[in-house]
Amino acid sequence: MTLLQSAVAQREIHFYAPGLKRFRTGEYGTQDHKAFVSISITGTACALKCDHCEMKVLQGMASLAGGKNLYDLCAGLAEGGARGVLLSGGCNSRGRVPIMAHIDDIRRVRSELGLTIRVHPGLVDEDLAEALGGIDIDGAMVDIIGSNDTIRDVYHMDLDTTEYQSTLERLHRYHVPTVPHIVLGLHYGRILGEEHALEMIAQYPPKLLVLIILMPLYGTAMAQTKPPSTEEIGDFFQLARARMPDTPIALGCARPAGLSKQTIDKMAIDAGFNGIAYPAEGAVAYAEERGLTPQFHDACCGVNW
Amino acid sequence: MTVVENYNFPDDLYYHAEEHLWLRQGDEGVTVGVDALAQDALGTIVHLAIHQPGQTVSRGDQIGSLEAEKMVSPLIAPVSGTLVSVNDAAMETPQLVSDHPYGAGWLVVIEPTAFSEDASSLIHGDSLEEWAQAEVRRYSDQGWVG
Repeated sequence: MTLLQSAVAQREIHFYAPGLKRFRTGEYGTQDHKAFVSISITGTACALKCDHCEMKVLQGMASLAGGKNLYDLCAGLAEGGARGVLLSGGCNSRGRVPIMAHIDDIRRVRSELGLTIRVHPGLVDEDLAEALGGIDIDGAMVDIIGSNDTIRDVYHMDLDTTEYQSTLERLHRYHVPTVPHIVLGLHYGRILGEEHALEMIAQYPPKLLVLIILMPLYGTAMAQTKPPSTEEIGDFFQLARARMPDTPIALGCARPAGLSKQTIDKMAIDAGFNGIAYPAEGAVAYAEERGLTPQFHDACCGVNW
Repeated sequence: MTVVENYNFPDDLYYHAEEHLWLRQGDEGVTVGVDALAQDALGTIVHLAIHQPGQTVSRGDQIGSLEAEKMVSPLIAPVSGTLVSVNDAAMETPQLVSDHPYGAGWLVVIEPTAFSEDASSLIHGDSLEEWAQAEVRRYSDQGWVG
């Protein structure tokens, strides 16, 4: 039975709190922030310096910079109680995170340490897709961009959307579970290529679709950018659910803070989403009022332990 | 001033050990804020939600929440009393809490009902330096700062 089938049958909703952020609310309780650790294999380095991030996200991750060995780092984390890791990092100028350089370590982390592994590979070439297909990873998380303008203006790359389609196709062909993300409002707060991204993803059924929302980060070029309106966000939630009725969908980590977060979380529940990361205060109660049974996981969305 | 690895802990303040809140007694009540170590562990605060003034609160009650780059946490009343004031400027610009943790970035004022009783479980005076050193070490070991 798939995650979605199980969730629907049991009227479950899953709430996630990976260790990227320490998380404690009146509804979520105590998070084991060491259970699922995010690692940046490039430290805080990234060639793209995208306007919405400017490497801020990498700063909260455990760093592999400075010649550390990935296996040794993971072994230490496992000793400290980690059950899984997200291998992320900055991109090179072609939008690729240098995962391949660590592929032997990743294989050992899975086979010898038994850690659940998610990767954040950026764009994936043939070699990496094949290599990941040979490792029992839990999922490859890729931001899918559906607008050439966004790729050029926000990511500063001279590429087009077919690169993202090719990434999905390669991962699918090598049977790598995918967890594609769509960032609503990535083009300076405008909804632009999101629907095209959804169409591309729908061609290669993912393990889980994750929707996230532009979260203006202090100190970045988009710090003052307004995210899409809650109406636009709600409409896209409904569109995604209708377009992919058999695919689990989660509302991911990134979304604006504050009152709009509470509204957005409720819209996700109303749209029939299967999971929410870092739920706003009140979201769990709202789900329970609708007859859903909450399940809590200190890990990335949809992780299978 | 107690200083541990560049983290300042003003000696005249009281500290809630678990939540890393500071408390300053004044004519209008007890002003509450986030101490410098917790501030660094939080990262930039992006949103504050605090209950309306006028409420009666018990020590340990949740009176709001903090959402920051690296952490989401409830805001706990460190003493019992009446919530008499909320820092509107900080609500409007949460960055104030990050930039001025012991000054303009205060969070609330509580008129305490039994401060001397509550203060017995707060950190103050001779115990401050030892506690601060242990906490800076613990936060560093956990990877929350540094």
